[in-house]
Amino acid sequence: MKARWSSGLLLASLGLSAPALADDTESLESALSQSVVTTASTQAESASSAPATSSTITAEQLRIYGIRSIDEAIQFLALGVIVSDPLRTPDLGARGVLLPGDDGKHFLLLVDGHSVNDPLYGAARFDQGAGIPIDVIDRIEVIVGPGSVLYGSNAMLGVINVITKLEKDYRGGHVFGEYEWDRSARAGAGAGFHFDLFGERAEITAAVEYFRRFGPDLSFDKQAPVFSGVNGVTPTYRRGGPADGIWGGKVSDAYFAEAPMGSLRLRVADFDISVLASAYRRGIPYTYGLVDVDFDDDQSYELDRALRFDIEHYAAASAFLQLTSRIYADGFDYQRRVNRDALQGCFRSGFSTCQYYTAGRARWAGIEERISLNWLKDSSLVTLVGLDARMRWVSAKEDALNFDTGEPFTSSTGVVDARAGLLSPYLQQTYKPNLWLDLNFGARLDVEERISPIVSPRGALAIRPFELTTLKGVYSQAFRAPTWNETDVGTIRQARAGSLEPEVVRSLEGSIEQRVATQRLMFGVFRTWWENLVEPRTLTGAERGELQSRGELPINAVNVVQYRNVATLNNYGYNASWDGTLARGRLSYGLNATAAFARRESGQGSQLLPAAPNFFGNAHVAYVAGGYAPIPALAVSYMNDRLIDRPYVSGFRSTPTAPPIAELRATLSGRFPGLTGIGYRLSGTYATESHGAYTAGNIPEIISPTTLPTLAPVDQYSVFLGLRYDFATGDGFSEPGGAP
Amino acid sequence: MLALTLGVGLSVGPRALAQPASVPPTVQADLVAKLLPYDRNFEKRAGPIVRTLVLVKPGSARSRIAAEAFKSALSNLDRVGGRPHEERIVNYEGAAALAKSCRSERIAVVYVTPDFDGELDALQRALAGVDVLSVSAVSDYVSRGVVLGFELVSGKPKLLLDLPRAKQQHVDFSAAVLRLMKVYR
Repeated sequence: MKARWSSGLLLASLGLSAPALADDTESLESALSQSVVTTASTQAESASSAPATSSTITAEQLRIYGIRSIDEAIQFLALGVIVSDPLRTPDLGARGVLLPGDDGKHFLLLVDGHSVNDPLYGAARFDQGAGIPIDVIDRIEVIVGPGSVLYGSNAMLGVINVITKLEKDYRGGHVFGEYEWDRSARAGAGAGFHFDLFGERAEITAAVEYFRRFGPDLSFDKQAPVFSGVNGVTPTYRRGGPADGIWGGKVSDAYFAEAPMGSLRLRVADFDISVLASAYRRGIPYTYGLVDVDFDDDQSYELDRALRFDIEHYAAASAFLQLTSRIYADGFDYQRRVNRDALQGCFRSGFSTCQYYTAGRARWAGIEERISLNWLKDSSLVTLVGLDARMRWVSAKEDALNFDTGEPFTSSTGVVDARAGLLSPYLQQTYKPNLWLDLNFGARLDVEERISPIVSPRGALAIRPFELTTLKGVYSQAFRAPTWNETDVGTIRQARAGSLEPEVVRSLEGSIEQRVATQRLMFGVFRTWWENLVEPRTLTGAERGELQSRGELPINAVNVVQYRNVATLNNYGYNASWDGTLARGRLSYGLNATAAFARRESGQGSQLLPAAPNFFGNAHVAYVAGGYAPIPALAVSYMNDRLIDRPYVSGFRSTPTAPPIAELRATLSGRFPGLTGIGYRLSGTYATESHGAYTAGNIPEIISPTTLPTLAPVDQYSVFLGLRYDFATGDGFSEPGGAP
Repeated sequence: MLALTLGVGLSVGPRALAQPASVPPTVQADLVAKLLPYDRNFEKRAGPIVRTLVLVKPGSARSRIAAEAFKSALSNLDRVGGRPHEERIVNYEGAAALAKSCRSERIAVVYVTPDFDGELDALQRALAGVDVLSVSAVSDYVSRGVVLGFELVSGKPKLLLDLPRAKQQHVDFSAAVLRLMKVYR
């Protein structure tokens, strides 16, 4: 249908007049302001017609809003995703679902389309542990909702695709350093250049970054010594400290992190080759869940190491047939060393401190072939057929060591040494017959030895009844295969689960998007059903005894969990967003909000989800005057009151909640006049509350049946200053608006 | 399978890098349609019907795909530059022949598809003085002989303009739209 309804009627109804083309550039600015995304369907398309709810965070936003990591970018700028920081690695949630201690298992993290979540733990980090130098990030595409149709396991809450810069956007040399008072420092360098290689144009972008956290000091409320300890001995919580039974006080050594990382991307002809390498060592600032650690111990830590390779090749065999091939290989190691008083931590009296050493290693490699059949040759009717074949190897163990000698005092437990293949064919059909209709249907089949074959379908329809109005409906399904850590690990604290069913989520969503000149408004509703949620469940005495009698659990095991398919989740709600520019693009702003009602159904009945707010959002505004004028920018995130992370532990007088919290970040950035290539940014952050939703210290009912929980603190005030030097960046172009 | 794709990919010869994600053809068409009236010479150039030639490099599948997609996107629009329009895909038969076609058929827009790297110098010379707007989705082609281009920066479409080339081809955009472009001077 060539002719379409005019948007004039709608504009008139909104009291707005259509722009006069000759004098006014609003219509053009509107077209230039739309986002183009690639993650939802693997092809570039306007975000309004993509088969998912999405938001895009740009490199410019990362710079002017004082963003230093992916989780900060999401917290302050993304739609529909919530970030909650337990002072370890941040938890991400969406649509009212946030699972404390999730380690990113329910979000799929991609780097240039390359999947990062490992098969042993399913984990993905979103802070500096993501291992991507932030300077080289071009944009972050955040897709909310199930996304297994093209990407397989883990895409339950959404898909986050970090897309790195091409040489044209990172040309020249770049050096930067930032210092956050009493907290952290960050430094890095990068370069982008092109050259001829065997007669073909080639380009390289490369960056390295080092991040180090050394503060702030954290203050934990002291917990009274009501626990008599093992054999009646009053416990000590500090190595070398008094046996006074008091947990809490000031943490000045244990809240630390260091993260070196590097990326290299080579593009030559139709090849795209990338390498990522990173390490992430971080302290364990407080006892939580089943991780019982000496108080303020700077020698207890977690360590991730990752090395990733990806080679992609695109070939257009004809106007009808295109091929994309990818070979990839990843290595991920995890180590955790947890030190604890020997008597309390491992029931030993012959030495002072025992150390639980957990080590896990995952390797995976595969090949993915994608064939695109362009039936009408004009890209309006395209069938995408893909096959991802992957092999995975995992190993893990846990040792209990004498901290002073480093010698194990028992044999290794939790030993896993396994491998399994994964074969995943998928299909996507797109049909765009005209300007007002987009159809996208597809499904993926994942076949692996550990679970039954599982199908993840998706169907999406986008209709534009008016030029600037889009109505969208999406049905999608996703799954998460249980990790080896959940099924195969058995230690003194965790009983081996054996087989588990994959988690499955089904989602139905609808939205309307309206653009008016440079303004874009979106409102969407969603309804989601989760099945087979895998959670660690504390075993009863009878269950524990049965496992012990079968020799499947050490006889001295007391507090033991086992991963099980224990719950379903139901949630519904809405997302809304508004973004735009005014004053000829100089003033830019955005607002995102999500409200959701989520319930967890299990043997314990219907419950609200721990630590998950039912209303959250963010807002941002910046003014770019041009030239050397400093750019002021303000970003705010907000979440309302929510239950603490362990609200249903028996013994609380009432179900404890954490109060609403807002974080404000004000940033000033720009370039120095007269100092070519030298830029700065100064940023301050303020949080309205001093404590979050994460419990710290001993399990409450053991301390006292009526005590209130100790909550981990929130870093309320911080300021950082950064300088950067960009050189040899010239390409002869002047930027829009005349920025230097 | 990979070996097959490698062979196919390398058989075409030297050219610009494949763009991992470029501005979608529908967005390009929309931008061209909205941009043309801001060219102060557009009315004189186009006449009552806006004619667009979409160039295809013979033997290049990438070029053919881009051409078909852009033509389809443009033909779906009611108006281009506020006027009726027609667009035609043509095999590239040399810069001189193209320049002749532009003059004789009153072509307003020439769309240059990928894999024209080796022809850009000839195109630039032949179109100098010809009253036509040359456009390409390959951002590298701007400053190498094409007047207007598109690129995707942080997920947003951007316009690129080679101002000296624009003057040579009598393309005269108003200051109001130049501020929205990356301009090569």
